[in-house]
Amino acid sequence: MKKLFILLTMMAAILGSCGGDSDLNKVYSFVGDSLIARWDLSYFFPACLTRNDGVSGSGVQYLESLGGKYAGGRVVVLSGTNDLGLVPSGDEQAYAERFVEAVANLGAGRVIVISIPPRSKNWCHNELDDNTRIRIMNASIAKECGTRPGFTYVDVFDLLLRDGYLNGEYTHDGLHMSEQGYEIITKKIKDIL
Amino acid sequence: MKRLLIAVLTAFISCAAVAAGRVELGLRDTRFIYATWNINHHFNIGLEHSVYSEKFKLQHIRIAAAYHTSIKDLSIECKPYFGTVYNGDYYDLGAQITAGYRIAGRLTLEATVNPHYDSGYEYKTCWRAGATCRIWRELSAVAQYSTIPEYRQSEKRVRVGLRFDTERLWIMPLLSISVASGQSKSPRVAVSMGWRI
Repeated sequence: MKKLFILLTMMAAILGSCGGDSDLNKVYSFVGDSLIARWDLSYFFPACLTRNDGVSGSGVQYLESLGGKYAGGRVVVLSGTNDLGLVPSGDEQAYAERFVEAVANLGAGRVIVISIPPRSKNWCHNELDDNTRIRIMNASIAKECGTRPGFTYVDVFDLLLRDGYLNGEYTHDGLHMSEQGYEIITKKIKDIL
Repeated sequence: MKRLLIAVLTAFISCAAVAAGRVELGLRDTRFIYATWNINHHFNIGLEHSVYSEKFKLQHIRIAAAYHTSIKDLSIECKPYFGTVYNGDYYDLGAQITAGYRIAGRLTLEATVNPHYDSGYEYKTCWRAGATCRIWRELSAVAQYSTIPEYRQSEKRVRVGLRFDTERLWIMPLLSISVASGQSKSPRVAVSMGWRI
């Protein structure tokens, strides 16, 4: 019994000394709409400290309501698809400025902004194709992120696209991600983390 | 060097245990493989390793020792453990104290208290309560409520499924569903199994 105790203590000491530096040992708060809320972060990021602050149906107003909440922290933002119907055609640049300002006001020192994913055909019901508008909004958001220190923009739009619409393999209902869809996004985020 | 150390330890435990005919190899919650070595009727030691779809440096390894005893239909186990990831980002330690009580031969009630410390999430007392009911020969139905981390983060989850028991092999596929408000409801399939050599 004494030998067993000594063996376990030695193993614990050896394993505990396997030190290293990594940003992964910080909390990453995932903020946004249902695409965040439905993201099984414990499963997809098993080695990370994560926190899910996604709220289904939310948009830029929700981001604005969280001003200062993540001061000095790290956030991953995925939002915007619920705002699509509220933004008049031609106002995409103004929306992008408001969106990125709201994200900046979260106060985080490190910010990862994920592009708005495309929609499947059954979710595109505006006169101007919704995916074309999402592409325009994403380009404006990417441009605004480029002017902010500490911001990283992650483009997943084209990765999720097939024949101009959200790839059916990556979604259950044409808007929300399936496990395969989340795997695509997770891989991009892990490359950055 | 770390890989060599783990390989040597695993090989040592495996060889010694196989030679003595007291080893169990298996899988826990789909993403961890383990080997335990029964030293005698009451004690065993074990090594568990994650199989995350992550880089090797982010894989988790855990060592544990367990003491087990039974008094009539009551069984008690105490299992302290220590784990870490290879790059040292975090470590966890704690103990799982489990009590199981068999009722009328078919139904077993089980409860686990798990004081658990994670260097990132800090201390939390986790627990699990559940029942196993034998429904036909080697087949049992399993239902659990658990806050014990399946991976790293403590979550409130209901787990239901089946357990197949044979003399040397047991398999337990469970459907694990989050019951916490605001969290992903994505169900997970958590398969556990053990093969006694």
